[in-house]
Amino acid sequence: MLEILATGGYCAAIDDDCPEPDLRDELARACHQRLRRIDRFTQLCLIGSHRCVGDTPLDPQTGLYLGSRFASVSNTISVHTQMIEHGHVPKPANFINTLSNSAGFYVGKNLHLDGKNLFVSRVDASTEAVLQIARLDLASAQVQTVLLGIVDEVPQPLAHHRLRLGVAPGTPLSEASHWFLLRAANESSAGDDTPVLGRISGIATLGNSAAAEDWLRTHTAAGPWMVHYSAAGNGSYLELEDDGMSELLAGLPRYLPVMDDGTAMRFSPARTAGVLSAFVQDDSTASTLLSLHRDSDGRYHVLRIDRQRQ
Amino acid sequence: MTLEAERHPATTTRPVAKIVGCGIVSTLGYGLRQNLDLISTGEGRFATRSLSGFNEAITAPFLAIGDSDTPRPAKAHCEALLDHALEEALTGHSLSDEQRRTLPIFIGSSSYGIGIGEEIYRAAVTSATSSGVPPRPLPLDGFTQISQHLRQQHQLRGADYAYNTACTASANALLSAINSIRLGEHEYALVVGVETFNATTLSGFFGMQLLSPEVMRPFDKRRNGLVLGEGCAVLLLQAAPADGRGFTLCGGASGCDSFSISASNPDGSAIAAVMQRALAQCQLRTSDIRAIKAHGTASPMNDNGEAAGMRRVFAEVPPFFSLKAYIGHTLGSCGALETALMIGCLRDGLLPVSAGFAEADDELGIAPLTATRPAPAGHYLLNFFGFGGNNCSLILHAGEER
Repeated sequence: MLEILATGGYCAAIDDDCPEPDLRDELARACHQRLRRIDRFTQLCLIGSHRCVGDTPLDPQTGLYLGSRFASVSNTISVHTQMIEHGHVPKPANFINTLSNSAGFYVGKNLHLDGKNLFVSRVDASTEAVLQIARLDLASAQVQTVLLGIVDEVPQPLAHHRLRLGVAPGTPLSEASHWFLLRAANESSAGDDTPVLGRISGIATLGNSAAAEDWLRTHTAAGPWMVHYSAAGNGSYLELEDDGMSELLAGLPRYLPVMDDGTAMRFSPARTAGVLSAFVQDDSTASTLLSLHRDSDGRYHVLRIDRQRQ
Repeated sequence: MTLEAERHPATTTRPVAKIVGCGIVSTLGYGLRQNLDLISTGEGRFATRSLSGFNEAITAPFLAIGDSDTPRPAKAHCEALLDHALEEALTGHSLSDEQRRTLPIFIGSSSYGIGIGEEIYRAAVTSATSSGVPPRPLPLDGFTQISQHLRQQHQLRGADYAYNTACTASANALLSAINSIRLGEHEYALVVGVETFNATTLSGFFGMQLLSPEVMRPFDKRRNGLVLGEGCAVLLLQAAPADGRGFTLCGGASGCDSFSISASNPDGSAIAAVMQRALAQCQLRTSDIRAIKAHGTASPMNDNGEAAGMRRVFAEVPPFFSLKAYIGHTLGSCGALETALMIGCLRDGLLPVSAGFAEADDELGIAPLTATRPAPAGHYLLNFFGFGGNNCSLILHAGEER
């Protein structure tokens, strides 16, 4: 079981043919030193991580675990376009930034972390994947705390990116950077009075809808609870696909977080992380959330989060 | 090659993670035996590949698998390597359908499906040029190609984790696989490392002027860069009792050095810290290490830092060697490939020559193996370092019975 000590992040709507939000002021607040030649993906990581932990010093051995579906996609598109369409050899800084752990390097440098620094991906279930790895490492005592972020940017033109994402034309999109400071729930953590925002448990990858149904029935045996459900290719997430789970999920109380402007949270591969972050800070709902994501191969990536009373 | 298969179920005491199956494809050939036979020659390899479509002529060193003059389509090539390495790793192991469906898969690569996307987009651009229709959007699948192939072709549907931490990717994947086994959560885990040719990576290293015009010379006075290589390795890990037999992945450590985005501190401090944490995590002393499989990329920065790091940790540096002159630098997959080759060398009972080395560099203060040496039972340290300051050291134990 994981305990959430802090959460925070950045999420902004990205619209067709509109300039992306200017991040310079946010970066100035987030960065403790001048970092040159960083791309937008790295900028989002720096901002989101700062919004989570602020200026609180972290133990240098805090694990830094980053997840994303596409990582530095804008930079990668630029490198490939220049290479394939124009015959240019990639510039060194741009080439290195195509590596997904470059962003983790800069976040680690900014926060003075020199411990474990990972990047892990599992399409739209990267949140669940990184949480599972963090859980393994915390349970193995390889790290004592983990700073975990799920980040995905949105390159223009959006029509192209919607094709890559496999969502319907016109699906509202957002760039997102959602972060958590975590530790293992164990005997030593039970003894201290560090405020805990929530606890994450039951993280699993289930092979089919039958296993997902069993998991859901187990965790809904005692309430109250709410459900967040998403599926690959379903950008709106407000509509359920008929995959055998629809009857079970129909009528269950659903958690629908909103963005800063009050509109429904837009699609991002980082959306599950955004939902978890919003839920753990939202005292207006039941205190348990069950999250299920169905991937394109019919597997279910699930987890449970219990918000703690503050 | 099938290694000694431990059939013991996970015990009530904490199990250890043993490597019970290995499969490998590299420029040396298909299968562990073929790779080891060529490593026994002690001779490094060198080849070049011309890149088309650039404004300047690029001929870069590259150790390909198969005929690089008539390469297979990228997707078919990648899948063929996976299929072969997987078949070799699973030979002799009758995983049940349930085990195949649930075992976790830890994947390490630097480039994943980039080469596949390049081919598709290059064809689309060519078509658009002739037709006037704008090309489709640049296809990027993220990091899904490998796990998707394993699910759809081999029914391996367990939790998959795609690591992308530069040259430490599959080494970090191995560390997580060890954890999943040692926590008693899975009886088996699969670790996959794969790296296939793509123009982005080769031209990127070319542009950074990191490539050597000749055979790699790790730790040699005349070292002048690296040669990239293709490769795929699959390792099957199994939970087993700690009985000292076979090959046990004891653990390791991973860290990040913020000195520079492209190399660790050449004073060796960050590299030393990771090696020391690996030893501590496995409750070992420096005197317990029989030999070191070095990262050894023949780049001035890496070899300087690694040598300095080894001298910081070990009062007397154990015998060490690099494997990269044989198979090239296989980037994110080197953790899996070089661990597989290490297993093979230990099974044969011989530590290999550090190919490409001829003349010691006094500034490094140490020199790698220039002759084969018996590989006794005991603990071995395996180093992997990468861009973004990512550093990883693993500890492997070889039993008397292997």
